[in-house]
Amino acid sequence: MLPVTGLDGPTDAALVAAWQRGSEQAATDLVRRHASALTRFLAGAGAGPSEVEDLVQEAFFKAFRGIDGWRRESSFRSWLFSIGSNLHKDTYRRARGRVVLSIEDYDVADLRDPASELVADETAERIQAGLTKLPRLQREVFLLRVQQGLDYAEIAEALGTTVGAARVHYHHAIRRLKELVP
Amino acid sequence: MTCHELSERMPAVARGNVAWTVDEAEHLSRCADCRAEWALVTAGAAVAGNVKLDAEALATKVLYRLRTEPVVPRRRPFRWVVGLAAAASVVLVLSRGTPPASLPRGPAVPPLGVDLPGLDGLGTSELQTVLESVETPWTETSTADAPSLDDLTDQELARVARGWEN
Repeated sequence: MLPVTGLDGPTDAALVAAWQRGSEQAATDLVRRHASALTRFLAGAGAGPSEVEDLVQEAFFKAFRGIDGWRRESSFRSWLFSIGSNLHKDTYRRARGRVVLSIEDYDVADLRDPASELVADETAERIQAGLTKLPRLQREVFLLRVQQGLDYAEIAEALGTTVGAARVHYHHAIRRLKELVP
Repeated sequence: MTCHELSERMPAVARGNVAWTVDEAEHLSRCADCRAEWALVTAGAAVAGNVKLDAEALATKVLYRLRTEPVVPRRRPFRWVVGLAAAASVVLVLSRGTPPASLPRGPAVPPLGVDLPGLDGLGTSELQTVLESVETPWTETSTADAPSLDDLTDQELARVARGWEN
């Protein structure tokens, strides 16, 4: 039986079960818990400031509507990331050829956290720029592993690939970023 | 301690979940390649760190959409084609798989491979007579119940042999 509570309150599985019984509070809790991570992931993956909020909203909407499609053997977060990644991929395909935005473009958006400006990491920005030059899977594997802390099994689940392929993509991304980010 | 082992541990250490061991820290201090990767991983953890979203407002919007937008049944394009093809396959198998009961199966008749020049000289009425004798139902000419050569007596066999020789 899945645990119902963890260190941070009810587990995702418990909240999902509550949502399936009609609890809107459970859905709100799931959004609170995962919105920030999904937002950072999509922004890091190259979604523009005007897209990120729409993508995150759509990802949660699709997740809650299709909650029966979540297989309990993967984490809710990696399943949510898979929805977000697919939505971002579709958006990118529709806007074929558009240049992926770098993080500086977020300066004009309301999404910026003023406090974090004080600790803006120049290297992170250079990595963000370097990520735009990587193939999509390498970029997303790097972000899920380094930015989100997912293990290879969760990454494989989120991106619809194998553990071995995720590992290879990660090491290719690292090697390429070493060249791109001096 | 290898570079690969250190590489595998970097994300967890960068996120503060675990700390370097003495061996790992020593390897890191003398391996420039690992230090370059470590710099990437620590900085990579902060990518898009300044991008925030109002989770409460987001939850409100999502719930509003869930309440107001109708559930659209998932459409599977060309699903009807698959059903039609399956139905057609079943009909085809049923129609061809078993022979009609009204058509009796007879013994295979080898094609006639010899000329019958004698027929050329026959008149219409004579040909009609020959055709009538040929067009008897297969059941009447079936050899299924006819005695085989094994069933004949010696005298009958001799008579058949003489007929062939003539």
